[in-house]
Amino acid sequence: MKNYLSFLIVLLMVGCSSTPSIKEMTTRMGSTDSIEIIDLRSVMRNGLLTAQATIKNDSSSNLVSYRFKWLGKNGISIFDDEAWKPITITKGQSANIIGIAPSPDAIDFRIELNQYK
Amino acid sequence: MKLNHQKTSTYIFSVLAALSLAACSGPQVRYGDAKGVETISVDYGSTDLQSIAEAMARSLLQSKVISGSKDAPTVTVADVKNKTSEYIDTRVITDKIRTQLLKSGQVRFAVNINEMQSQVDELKRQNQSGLYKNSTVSKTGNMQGAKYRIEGSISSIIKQNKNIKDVFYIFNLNLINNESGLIEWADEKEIRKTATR
Repeated sequence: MKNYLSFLIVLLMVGCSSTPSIKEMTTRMGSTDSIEIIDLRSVMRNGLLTAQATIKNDSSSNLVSYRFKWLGKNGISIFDDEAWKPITITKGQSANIIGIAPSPDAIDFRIELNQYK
Repeated sequence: MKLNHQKTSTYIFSVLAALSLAACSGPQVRYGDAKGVETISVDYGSTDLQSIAEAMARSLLQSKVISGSKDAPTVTVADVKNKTSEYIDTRVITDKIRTQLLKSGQVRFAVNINEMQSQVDELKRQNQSGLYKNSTVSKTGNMQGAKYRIEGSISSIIKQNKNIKDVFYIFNLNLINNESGLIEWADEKEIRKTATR
């Protein structure tokens, strides 16, 4: 009985601490559905959170811009919004986009994709 | 027939009235997104300024020189040379980099050559005017020298034919140790812009 209870508690803990999915970490604006985020990862490098997103373009349109949103404790934004950065990516190509947090206070991030004209 | 003629004249009158109103009204003003991508021309623009400053500031913050030092190191901004054929206010780039670095709390900045005169004027005013209480006066001889200086350059390669104009910018920034003269960190940012007819 005791073992069964401990197993349940562990299961609950795992359930609560699960990391958000790529979809949950991405905000899309405009028609960016053809841009797929294949991989999203982060690492602490020299005291600053560094994020890497691998994106792939499935359409011939390549007018895509991106930016990272850096979050501190309790999900509060660190600094102002970043500038949108245009990226040129041809059909079928995949590319790594890397973002470095503006301050050591950043502990989490989100990625935003947008179309530009 | 008469009714039709009347209808046509009313229509023409309305169109003319609308046209004259449109001609009289001024331009439509809207606030835009200051962080948005600007693609009006291939010339150096706000998106270039923002991406250069952001990339350089973040890269410098992550360097071992800054992240590895116990206290926030003192830095000053030297010259960023504009080697392009365009007019580019390089001071805006370095100011933007400086603001981002200061906001991070990891770096302290000493006044640069351009700001030195106002610093000297303020010290003179406090120390030589005889107007201030002695205990509140900022003393001379206590200014801090910067351990490092930031300097760099921006260059461009422009190629064009009848239909295409291609501009390639390269921004280079170095962090130099003032005492040893060693370049402790360097990074570059490349930007390519193409305009087609």
